[in-house]
Amino acid sequence: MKKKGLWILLIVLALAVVVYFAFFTGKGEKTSVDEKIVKIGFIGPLTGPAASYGTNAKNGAVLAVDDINASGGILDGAKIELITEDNKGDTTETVNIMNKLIEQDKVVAIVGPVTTGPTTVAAQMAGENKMPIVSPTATGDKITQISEFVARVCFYDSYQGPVMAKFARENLGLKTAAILYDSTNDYSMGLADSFALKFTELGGEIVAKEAFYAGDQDFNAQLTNIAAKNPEAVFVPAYYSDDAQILLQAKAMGLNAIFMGGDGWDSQELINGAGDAAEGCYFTTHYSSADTSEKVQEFLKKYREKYNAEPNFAGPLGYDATLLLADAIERAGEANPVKVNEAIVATKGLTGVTGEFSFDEYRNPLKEVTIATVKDGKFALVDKVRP
Amino acid sequence: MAQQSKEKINWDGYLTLAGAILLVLVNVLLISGKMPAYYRGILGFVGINIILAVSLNLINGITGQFSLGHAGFMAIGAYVSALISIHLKWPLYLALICGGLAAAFLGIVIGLPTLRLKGDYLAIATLGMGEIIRVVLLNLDITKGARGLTGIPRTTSIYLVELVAFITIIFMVNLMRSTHGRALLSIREDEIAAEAMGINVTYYKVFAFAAGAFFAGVAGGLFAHLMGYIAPKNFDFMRSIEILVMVVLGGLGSITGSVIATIVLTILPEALRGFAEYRMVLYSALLIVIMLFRPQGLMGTRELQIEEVRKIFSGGGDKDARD
Amino acid sequence: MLEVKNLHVYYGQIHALKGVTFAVKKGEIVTLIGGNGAGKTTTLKTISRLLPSKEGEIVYKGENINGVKAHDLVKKGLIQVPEGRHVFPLMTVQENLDLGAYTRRNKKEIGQDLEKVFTLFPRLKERRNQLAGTLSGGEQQMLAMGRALMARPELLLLDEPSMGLAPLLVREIFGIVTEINKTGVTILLVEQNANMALSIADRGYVIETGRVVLEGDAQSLAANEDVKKAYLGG
Repeated sequence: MKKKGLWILLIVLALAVVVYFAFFTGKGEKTSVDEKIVKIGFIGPLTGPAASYGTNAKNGAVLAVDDINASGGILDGAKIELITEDNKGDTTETVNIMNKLIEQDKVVAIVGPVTTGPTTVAAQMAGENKMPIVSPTATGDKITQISEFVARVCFYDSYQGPVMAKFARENLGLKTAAILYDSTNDYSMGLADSFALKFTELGGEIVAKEAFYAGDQDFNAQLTNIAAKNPEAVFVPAYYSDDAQILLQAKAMGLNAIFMGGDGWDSQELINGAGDAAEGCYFTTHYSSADTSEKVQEFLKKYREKYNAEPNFAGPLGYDATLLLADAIERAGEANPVKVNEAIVATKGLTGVTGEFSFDEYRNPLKEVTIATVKDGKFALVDKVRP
Repeated sequence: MAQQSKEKINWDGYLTLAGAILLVLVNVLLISGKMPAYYRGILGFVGINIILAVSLNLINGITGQFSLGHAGFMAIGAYVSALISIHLKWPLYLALICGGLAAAFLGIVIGLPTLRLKGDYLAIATLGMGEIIRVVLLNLDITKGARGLTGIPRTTSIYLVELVAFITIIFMVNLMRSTHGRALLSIREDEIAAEAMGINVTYYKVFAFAAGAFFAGVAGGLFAHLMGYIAPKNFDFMRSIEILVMVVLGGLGSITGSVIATIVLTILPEALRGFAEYRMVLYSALLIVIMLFRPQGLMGTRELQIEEVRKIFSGGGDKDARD
Repeated sequence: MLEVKNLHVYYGQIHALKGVTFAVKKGEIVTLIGGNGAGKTTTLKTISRLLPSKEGEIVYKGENINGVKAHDLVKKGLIQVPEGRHVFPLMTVQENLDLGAYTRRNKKEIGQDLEKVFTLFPRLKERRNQLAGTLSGGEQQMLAMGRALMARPELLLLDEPSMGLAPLLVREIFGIVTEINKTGVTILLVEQNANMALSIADRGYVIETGRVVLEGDAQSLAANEDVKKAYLGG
């Protein structure tokens, strides 16, 4: 009996030693960057409620990597390797992924995260680890102010709200507007506030402000309150699934106002879900698939070919974020995260699918906002404006 | 417990020994600075989850009151301690204690009326409580709503997480060995008999609820100061379920079971990263398999004890040992 | 020792006890007999404060205990053995007995009482390390009684101890009840098995639809024609 015990003890010890060597040593001796491969990380929700944005962004990033590698790669022939990780839209997962990408995969830079909460957490870590991250779609106003290692290729919440306010006030000549927003959603709140501010500044009047919770199915109470004030426009900065329900219920109750929103509307699901009720609404977005520019059409063609699906706005933004990183690595001249970040900051006039952009002092892109509408069951481009 | 035949290997002893060795190894790596940040990060979450699971076990496993609102208590602790750190700039330990006390206070306030309910009804009431807390956090100005709270000083160290996890476990072990622990167990077994034996059932239920809430609140505080950013989303219903799964998988009522299950369930999703989008499918499948083969949880109601290790070295398992 | 005066109890709208009055003197065995749903168990539960009373007085050792919490009665020596036994199934016999002495701190006295319980119930001693849930019905009843004795009762409330047991076991249990009484414990016994109950009791009360309809010493009750007809199967 005693002998048996000692044997097992030895086995346990041996296992412990094996685990030790397998996990904690050796890793550091690997060369940081292979001569011919430059690793870029991708973080986004590939599962969970925000998966459609995450998957689109990832697909866009993969397309960009394919394009760059096919045309000879970067840094004199090095290929980009994209390491994608699913964070489920969760901050805890994001911490683990950031650590893993930085330490284990030794990436040069990271595309992502996709949503604002995880990006906030990733931004802190980016600063601490001097690891540049470029979010394709995180629109929260302040995230790029957290660290100088954070940039994004989408515009931020209070950038598109005023654009729509100005469009409603000046192009459509509307005087009164109501707001229906998702009070559980930081994005929705940001847009609502910035729209209201600009609309009143331009002489318009916000006659009603109603809130709902993400996942609500019945919006009749809020819509009734809004209808009572008889506004000319209703601004709904929310995601497409809620928007479609709202449009349907508004139409059913005969609410006669122009509905408008932000980039959360930009999904084929909106038209699928709302049908006729979506006709004539306006929303700001990052690009329009109805845009006839060569860049956009070429991207759409490749995307449809590779994935057999229509991208939402996260697709081209994922593409542009990756393009921006590749361009910055090229200009940095070496796969060094700090130098790459310097190059990102210095980006000037890079042309991506979603437009030509440079950065402001907080590494937010200065670029055009697309205004789109729904006409005959299809998205149509209305205008591209610079705020 | 069961009679041990002489040939039987003292698995509990070796498992305990392996655990102890692992613990020492992990700490040697930590202190020597050899542990990569990736593992340090995971270890931090393991520690926080241990506090959560062990404290929920006090309510669900040991006292037998089915609570689904643990994430709510965690949220209270997280927000209270974070707001204290941001606005009052108190030291971390004070902020954590205040967060824990706030959660415990809420546990008492909510526990007094709801703990009269039994089984399913209590589960629904606590679920509702968790959701109410989340919605309140979404709508308050001071919590910044859905935007989440940023700028929380990131002062939680891995050692602090370890320390608090140890304190939680030691508290729970001592409680279980005391008359109070017996009283809590007797409530789980039979409330009427417990009352007839002179045990103040209401007091003990609320005590378990408050103590569980306290540790959940402290865990929330540690989480907030580890992440530097919290949002109501971090503390939704799924979070409560995650903690509950750890407790059930480990075995309702077994502290060591909770600890083991928490370690496994926290590390597993990371270990499965190689499987990309099938990761969570595998994770769920593994859960189902474990529950099929061990419906009573990994440990049932058993505990691993240092005593067992001593038995190995003193000629192990030769004598039928009762503790 | 115990006086119950004009006790009224409601279950929601249902008026379950309509003015029950009786008394138990020190050293007696008093039994409450009556049919199913007559209010016997309700009376017992009200005395042990597991049920609230709407009206009436319960005086125990000269003290009105209407406002006392159930668990506080244990320290006063008023112990109930609930109907249906209610042992702690996942604890051993020993652990069950230990919990009986939950309110007591004197280790020496507890040890002495444990020995007394084991003398009364030798079977419990044999099975002291067995889980209570695995005991037979009779053994569980013994355990429930033994556990109550561990609390050093002055007044022991026994609720249907014969329930679901074989006649031989019932005889054994009732024998032990008499022995417990001889050690100076006053006993209030609620029983459907009126025959057995009256055979060991000093006095008895017959309860029907929430009222005491008959009272007297055990022998005269057992001889009463109405009682015979209704409860003694004669």
